[in-house]
Amino acid sequence: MQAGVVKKETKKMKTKVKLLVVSGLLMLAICGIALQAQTQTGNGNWGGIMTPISGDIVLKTELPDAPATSPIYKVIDNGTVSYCKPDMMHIKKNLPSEKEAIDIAKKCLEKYGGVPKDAVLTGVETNYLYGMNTKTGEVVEEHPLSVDVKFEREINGMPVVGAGGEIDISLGENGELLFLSKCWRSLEYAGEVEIISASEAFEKFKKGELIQKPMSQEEVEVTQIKLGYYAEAPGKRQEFYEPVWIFYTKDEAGDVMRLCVNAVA
Amino acid sequence: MKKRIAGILAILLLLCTVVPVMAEDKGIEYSVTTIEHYQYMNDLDPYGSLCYEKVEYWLHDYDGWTEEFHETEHDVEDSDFGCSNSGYQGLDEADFHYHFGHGVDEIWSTVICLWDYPFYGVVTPLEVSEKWDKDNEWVLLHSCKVLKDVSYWGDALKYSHMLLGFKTTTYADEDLPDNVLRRAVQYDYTIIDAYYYGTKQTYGSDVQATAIADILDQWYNDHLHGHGTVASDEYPDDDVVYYASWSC
Repeated sequence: MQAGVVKKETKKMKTKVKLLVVSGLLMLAICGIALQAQTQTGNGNWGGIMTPISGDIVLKTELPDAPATSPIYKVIDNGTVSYCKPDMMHIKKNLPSEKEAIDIAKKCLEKYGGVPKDAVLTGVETNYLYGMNTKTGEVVEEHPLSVDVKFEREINGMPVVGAGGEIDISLGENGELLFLSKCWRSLEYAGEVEIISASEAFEKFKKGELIQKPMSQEEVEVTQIKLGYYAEAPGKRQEFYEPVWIFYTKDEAGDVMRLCVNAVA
Repeated sequence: MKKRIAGILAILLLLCTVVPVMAEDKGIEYSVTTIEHYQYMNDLDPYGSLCYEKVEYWLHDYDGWTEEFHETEHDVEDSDFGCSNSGYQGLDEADFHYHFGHGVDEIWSTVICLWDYPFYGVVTPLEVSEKWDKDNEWVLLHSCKVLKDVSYWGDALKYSHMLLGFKTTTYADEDLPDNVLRRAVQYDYTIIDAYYYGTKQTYGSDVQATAIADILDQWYNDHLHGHGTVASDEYPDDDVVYYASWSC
């Protein structure tokens, strides 16, 4: 009697397992079809999250006219200074306001050659250390860390992008200097070079022929295109500042990136 | 005489047992995962290899750490990210882990992309939630956007100390591990100072970096082993983490 019940239960169990396997396979098939449909575009190219640099780029600006040539500059010296105070990431009690921070930053720079004539103030931002409950996502603490002031370079009105074209200053307690990085290479005019048109550059951009390789692939909107220069990071050796086409892009999260394509023909 | 020989033998025996235990206890290990070639995404070569060389130089060649593992390309699997609490525990078997590869912001959370993403290879924060509890202290995710979801990824830090990465898109550049590890190893910076400095020196202002620590004491005091204090693990584990993001 007991064996019969066990057998019956086993049979029931087997049927359940079979049903589970079949429904599992069906679910997999449906998911597979849905994924295929989501990721393959009408023209047969892989789209969506897979190849935005070559596919999902929305041009939200006009391609600008370009001069036939643009100046190239030879780097004379690296002009790099940096300063870093230990334990700079500790919580602060009394940070300067963002308005005050600009003047303090300029004063700090006096010791390091001052604010160059071709520097443009591009940002002031207060950084905070947050305590977050990971289960609820709620921010439970907020402490000031630093106020960052940034200057970027413009050469004859053309923007310079990259870590080597910036002055970056972090200020702490009562305006104390926590961090300073200034990379302002001395340049010498080295003639003119022929440059490619914005539309040629856009083709390169779509193919992913960028100076820096982004480590993500999502849909982007190109909101602005400018001719400028790319400056390598402070520790890197760079012999020339050559013209680049800078594509200002915005992703779905609204983050703006500046992706550069070599503009030399 | 016999006593002397016995004494020497006893010392030798002690050395034979204690020295390996000490070496094991010292056991400062790092692990690395790098993906340069993707089936459906842009390739990132040669930067994965270049970044690995920098990690190897600073931690192994310069500082004498032991390499626990270096997995590359399609050999990089979910299990390398410490998704399990038993058996092979991936990055949780080494003190420091460096990962290089794509990351994306999916609808449900940010994820690490493996070589065949989006079909199979993906590491989600759910897979590592409260899993890093063995040997790991620090993880550097050199990938885009992964640390945009602080609450999800921060949940991995059970007894592990810090997670370093990016909130926005970032770029493939060997200067990142070089700048960060140089400061931590050669100049004895705290982990957070080294990461702040390293990210600022490597990237322009369009990149935003993020660091997450399990407790404030680790945020303030953690240095790489042998370069200063290392705070204790959080015990018992709570649900609060500390984080900051900054423009590079």
